[in-house]
Amino acid sequence: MKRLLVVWCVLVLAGCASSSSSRLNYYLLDSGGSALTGPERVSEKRPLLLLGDVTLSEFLRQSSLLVQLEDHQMHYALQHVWAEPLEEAIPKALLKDLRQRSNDLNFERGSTEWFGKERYRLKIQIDQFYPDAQQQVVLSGRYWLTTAESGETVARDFLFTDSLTQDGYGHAVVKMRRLVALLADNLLKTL
Amino acid sequence: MTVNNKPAAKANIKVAKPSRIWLIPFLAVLIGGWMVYQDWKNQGTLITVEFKTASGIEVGTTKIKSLDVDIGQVTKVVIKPGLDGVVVTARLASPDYSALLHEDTAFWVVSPQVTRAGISGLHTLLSGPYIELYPGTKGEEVTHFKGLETPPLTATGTPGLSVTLSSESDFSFAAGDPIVYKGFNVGKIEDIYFNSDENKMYYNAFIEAPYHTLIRRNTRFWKVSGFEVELSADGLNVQAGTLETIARGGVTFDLPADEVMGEQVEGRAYFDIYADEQAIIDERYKHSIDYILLVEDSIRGLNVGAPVEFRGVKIGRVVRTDVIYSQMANLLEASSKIPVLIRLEPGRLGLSDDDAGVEQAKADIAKWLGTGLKASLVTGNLLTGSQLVELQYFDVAKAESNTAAQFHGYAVIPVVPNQFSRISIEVGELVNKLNNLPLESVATSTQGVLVEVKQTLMKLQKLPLASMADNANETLEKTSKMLDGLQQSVNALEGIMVDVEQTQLPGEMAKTLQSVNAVLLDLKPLVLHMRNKPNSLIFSGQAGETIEPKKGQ
Repeated sequence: MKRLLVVWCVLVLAGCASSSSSRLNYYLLDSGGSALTGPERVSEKRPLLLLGDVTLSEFLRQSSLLVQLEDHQMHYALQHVWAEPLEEAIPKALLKDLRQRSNDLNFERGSTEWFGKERYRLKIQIDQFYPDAQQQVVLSGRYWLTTAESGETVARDFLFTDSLTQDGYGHAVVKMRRLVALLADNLLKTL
Repeated sequence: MTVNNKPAAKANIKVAKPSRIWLIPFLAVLIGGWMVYQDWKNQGTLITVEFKTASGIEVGTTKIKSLDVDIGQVTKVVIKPGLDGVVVTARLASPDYSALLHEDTAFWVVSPQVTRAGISGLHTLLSGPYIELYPGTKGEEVTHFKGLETPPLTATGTPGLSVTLSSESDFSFAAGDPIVYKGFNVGKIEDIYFNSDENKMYYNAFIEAPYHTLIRRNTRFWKVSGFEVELSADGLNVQAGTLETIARGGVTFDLPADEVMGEQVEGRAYFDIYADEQAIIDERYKHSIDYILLVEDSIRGLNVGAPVEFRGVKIGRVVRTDVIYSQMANLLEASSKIPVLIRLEPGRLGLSDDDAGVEQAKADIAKWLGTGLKASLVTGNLLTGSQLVELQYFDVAKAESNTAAQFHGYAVIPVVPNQFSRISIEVGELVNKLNNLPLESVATSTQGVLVEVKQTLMKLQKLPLASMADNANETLEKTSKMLDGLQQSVNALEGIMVDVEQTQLPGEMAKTLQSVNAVLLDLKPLVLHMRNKPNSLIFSGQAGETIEPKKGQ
């Protein structure tokens, strides 16, 4: 009887230990490559654009990557998470793209260091930023570009999509990064 | 004739013996006599007591009692030959009670009574009045007594001290009124009599032991009324005694302040009753000097007893305000002055309270009068309008030598007008100065100034005001533009501040909250999963199909 009990415990523990545990996958929005392609220093001669708020929809403010299954159904991946909150990752990637694409302006996050010196102020609201049910990634939202001198504000909606050519979250993240670059292009055109 | 000297023959006479039957009446008489003797021997003493009336006393019914024990009965009541009372004859129940009969034995009739001292004798409403015997101890045994009309307030033999208090004042006390010491009832007023020769009331009072040791030679007694409110020049003075004295009044006593304790009183002593404690203080000094003030103003509010002060220190009091009118020429004359008699006490001036002090005070005051010391009536209490006399050095430069002024034998202290009179004089002087102002020349000058002002205004009207207004408009427009620019700057600053608030200012706190929020959001699906499958923490179960983005077709 005692032997049977010991065998049973060993089997139970082995069963627990042998369960296939999927490892977590962390993703960075920006790969980090070509970080030094932009202007090395802030030039006081170039006008300054301050990037203020980048506000995300509530359902985007969490670490799991998500995918839209149907029009009104989302799925949060348990094993695929962002390595950095999107509130931080998106402005970082956007500023990088802006700096790479424009030598006429300086681009900085809004901080007390720069207040009063800016020519433009930018505020962005992001509504969608995920792979949707149509096998594409989507980035949509609205931004407000304000000219500091005149106080004039330009508000525009944006919607960028890109088709997925591969399965998996890794490929989706790469596509999403490209959508941020499209947003940067759009902003520069507005300027 | 012969004489026969032979003895005659002895006659044989036989005397009959009394009958034995007589023994019975004899014994009866003997027993009766013995009974009479026993009755005579055992009957109590026959006493007589005189009363003013025989109210409530009935022969054969009214008892003689002592300590609520029947010790005798009234046997006869007769009116005295002079019709000035009755003689009540009573027989005590036992010859043993004769020991109670002495010269100081007291008798009084106990019947229902309602007096200031209280209600007593209610128990006799049903049993009827009786004669109370209070045993005596002094003197020889006597059988004739003079009864008391009222029961004694203090039982004979009670330890304590009897004192006699006297008063000439218009207050009075009744038998039974309390003697109070620091709030305690320590005795009572027992009886009262009026001495018409001295025009004084005398009160015999009894202070019970051990409080009788408080009575010293220099003890002062004064009246305490229940509730006394006095409005005087010194202000409102309210005094309240004990509850009993509030209802009935009474007398209290104490030693005067600053006096050492005198010798203890042993036998009956005599004391005066003062009107109040202040009167004792006032009477502390035996020697005084009288002065006259001749007042031009009204003395309304200046009462007898009002203080005479020097810089706020009481040095005397007003004695009379109605003196010597009859000796004045005519009170209604415009120049007449009202004489007020004041009494200054050398003891209060720091001098000795004796004749030497009086002489010194007279000399000093005469000297001070020469250096400007004068009297003035000042209002001591605005509420009541009471006045007091203040001695002060007024107008020293104009000091007059009034030391020799006399008024009907009294030295005169000069009087200056009182406060209101001085104010009215000063107001009058002010009005005179106003009257003397050159108002007409001032009015003329003012009129000239007005004319010049009018001319200036007319010149202003001729100025090119229209062009000046255009310039002013341009300036206003520029100012308006500057304000618009300033407004835009303010708006820009507000926008920056909003950004600052939403991005920077919350600082680490906001970041921490965002991190916490993110963690909670991450935990949410896990919690939901756990709720759906609680054992998933241990048993992973069959791995489902992984959902991930799919490439387009």
